[in-house]
Amino acid sequence: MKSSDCVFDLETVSVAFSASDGLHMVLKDIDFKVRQGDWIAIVGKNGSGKSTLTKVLTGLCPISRGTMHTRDQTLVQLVFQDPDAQIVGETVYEEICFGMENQCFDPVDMPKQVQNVLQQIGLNVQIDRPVSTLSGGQKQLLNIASCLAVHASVLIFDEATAMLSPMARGKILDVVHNLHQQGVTVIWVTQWMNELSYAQKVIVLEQGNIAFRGSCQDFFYPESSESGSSPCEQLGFSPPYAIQVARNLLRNGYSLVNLPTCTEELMQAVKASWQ
Amino acid sequence: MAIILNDVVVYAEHNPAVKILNKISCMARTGQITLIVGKPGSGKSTLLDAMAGLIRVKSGQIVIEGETMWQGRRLTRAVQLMTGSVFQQPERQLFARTVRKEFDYSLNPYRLSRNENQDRILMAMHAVHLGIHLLTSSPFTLSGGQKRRVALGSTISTKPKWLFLDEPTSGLDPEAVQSLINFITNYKEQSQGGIVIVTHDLSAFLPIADHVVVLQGGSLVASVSVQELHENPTILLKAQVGLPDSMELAIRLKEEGIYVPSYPLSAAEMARIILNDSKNYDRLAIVVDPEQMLTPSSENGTVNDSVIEVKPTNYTKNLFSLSGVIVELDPRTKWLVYLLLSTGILFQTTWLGFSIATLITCGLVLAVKVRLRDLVRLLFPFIIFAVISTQFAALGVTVIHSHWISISYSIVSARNTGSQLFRIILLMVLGMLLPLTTSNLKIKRGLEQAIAVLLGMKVLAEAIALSVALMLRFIPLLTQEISKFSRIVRARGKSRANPDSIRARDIHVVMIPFIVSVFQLADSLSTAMEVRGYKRLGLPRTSSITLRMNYRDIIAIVIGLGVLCMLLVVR
Repeated sequence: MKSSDCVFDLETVSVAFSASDGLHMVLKDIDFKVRQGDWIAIVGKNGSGKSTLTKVLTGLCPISRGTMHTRDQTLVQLVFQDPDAQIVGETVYEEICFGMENQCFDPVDMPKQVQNVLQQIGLNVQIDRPVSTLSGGQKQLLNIASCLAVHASVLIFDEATAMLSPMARGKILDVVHNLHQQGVTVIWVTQWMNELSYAQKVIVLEQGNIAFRGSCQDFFYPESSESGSSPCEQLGFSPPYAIQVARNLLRNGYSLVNLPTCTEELMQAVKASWQ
Repeated sequence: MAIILNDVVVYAEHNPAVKILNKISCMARTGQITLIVGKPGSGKSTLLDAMAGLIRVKSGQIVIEGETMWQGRRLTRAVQLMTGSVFQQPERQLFARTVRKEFDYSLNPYRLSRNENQDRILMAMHAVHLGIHLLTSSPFTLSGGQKRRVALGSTISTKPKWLFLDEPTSGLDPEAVQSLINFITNYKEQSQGGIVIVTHDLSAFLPIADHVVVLQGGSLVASVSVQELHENPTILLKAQVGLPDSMELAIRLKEEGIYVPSYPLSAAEMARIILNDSKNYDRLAIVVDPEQMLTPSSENGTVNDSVIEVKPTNYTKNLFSLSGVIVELDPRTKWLVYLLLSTGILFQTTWLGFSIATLITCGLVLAVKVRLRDLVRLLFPFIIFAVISTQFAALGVTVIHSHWISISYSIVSARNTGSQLFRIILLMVLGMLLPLTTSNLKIKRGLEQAIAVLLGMKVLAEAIALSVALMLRFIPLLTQEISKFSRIVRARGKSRANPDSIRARDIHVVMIPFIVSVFQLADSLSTAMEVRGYKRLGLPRTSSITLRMNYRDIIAIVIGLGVLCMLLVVR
């Protein structure tokens, strides 16, 4: 692979913090490539280093050892967990413009660009609406809109749905899925196992190491026999409901054409078996 | 026994115009796990607080274990001692020097014997899987998960008959969620009490719950058993909560004509249903009555079909009203007019002048439609100061023959001091109108442009403007944080203080978590600004708003000058 295809190319990247009781390695020799148009899911328990990795990718955290190449002209934007902790403006318009101001956009273009991005993500609110009156899901959509307004080519979501209701989570995932199909590179950090199905690659961090990397199917299903345990279980995560049902079906000799990674795919597989 | 709510109405703590709970009637039983669900802003945390006696209800009644919760404005002591609350992100509530002292603080209101105290602490540490050796450690050296368990442990050490948990899984990793679920299931069996949980994590909690209360926009959508919820999943869709994976799969299968029973099914049970169905080719013979799916066969459940749709408010400012015009004025104009008016007011010495100045100030307050409560709340300390100073200034002390002290009261001195302070109150009111009618970014931009022109230093202008804007953004957050932590202290310390105040001996309990959380807020905001490209001062950037004065501003300035002249004439 040519390195120019890579948005990010990390080679043996380590990050260490010094504390009173010595050096703490938060990331250890991470090798990791992200190509344009990828959707990569990063999972890990609290303290596994996943937040540090997102900070490294956004350039907020210096690396202690190793190299990281970022393709030129790559603008990375980050959406955090707490919608309130990242909003600077008071109205929808001010908020979206804040990023554009920092990137020196021409003020003449701003009103149109604000309308464009709101339309793109389907957030149908008036531009002078106070941010404090939006729901949690709308605030996260607004954060995504702000990222798009500055033409971000990579979006990193750091547990961006953790504080939302299942319906709002579904909505955010749909919007991001749409953007991904338009060519945006997505890095999705999460603790929810049922948010992985869109990812082409799943990376599991454990104590600063990459403990697993592979497809969603490889993560949820055991390698050889159906009775074995999957990497998901071996690493201490509980597979989502749809996967548990699918595994139960397979164990009982039910044949599924494709290994489903979400409820929708499970339904399709079950329906396919009726034909 | 149970907690019974009857037509409970709650208004926002600092804004009596906002109704948070609208006539809620529902019930939670002992020996059961009751979930409160709803999308953010539906009032679910407020309902939990009302059940726990942490906030006053405006009207309606709450009866807990046969005791009325509120006796007039007082919380029944017995009620207070039988409740225990664990708040969102409870790891942030810790303040003591050691873990043991955290327990002591929670247990103190129960006045137990030393031995009983010790037993309770050991029991709780065991229940939350913490080693006894940690009792002497500082809570701040523990990991996030351990901190959370200390907070949970200190609450259950009081053996509350009713345990209230607000979003207990938020920020937990899946393994920790599972161990919390196991803990709650065990606790339910052992304590025989009731557990009420606010959550959006239905996948985790629905399988262990007995009863579900669904809210939307402050109104009750449904109060039903878990089985009834499975029979009528549209409740969750209507309340815009969404469905957990298991219910979604069940609905999809039902849509395909497969019979799925209406109770929480384990993955193995669900798989068995699909397997049995595949053997049963006569699938279409099972007819699902869609009506049955929509109407709950309820004995004690209630489903409210007439939930008012929340209408979007129109936020476009009305440019034709006076307040609209004032809000839209250039911040520099507002500042200039403020300077003109204050100069005029400071020159006043006569009763006539004071009356006119007061009229102008009141007129402006009315014109911009600022809530008087907000102004009074901010001014209150200064008004008290003014009254005391005026009285103090009026007192004259004369020593006669070096023995006798004569105290006199001089109306003239009182009037002099009083009138000086009164002018300052007027200036303060006018000054407050500026931030209340201008958005932070506009204030920032106004300062930036004004300083850049006056001093010709762009970086300095940006620095000053940015700090002011950040301060303005932070002040409301600080108020929110303070009231959050004072609520926690009221719950843990079982204080009977007024919901708005904190006992003096509890101040350190609030301050330490407060300062830690303010640092975290500041840290996340600065990270957010950096991510969004605001890396340091003085980098080239554009501005979405370029303030330009128009004819309205000129009219406002002319009016300001006119008023100044008038005030100078009447003085």
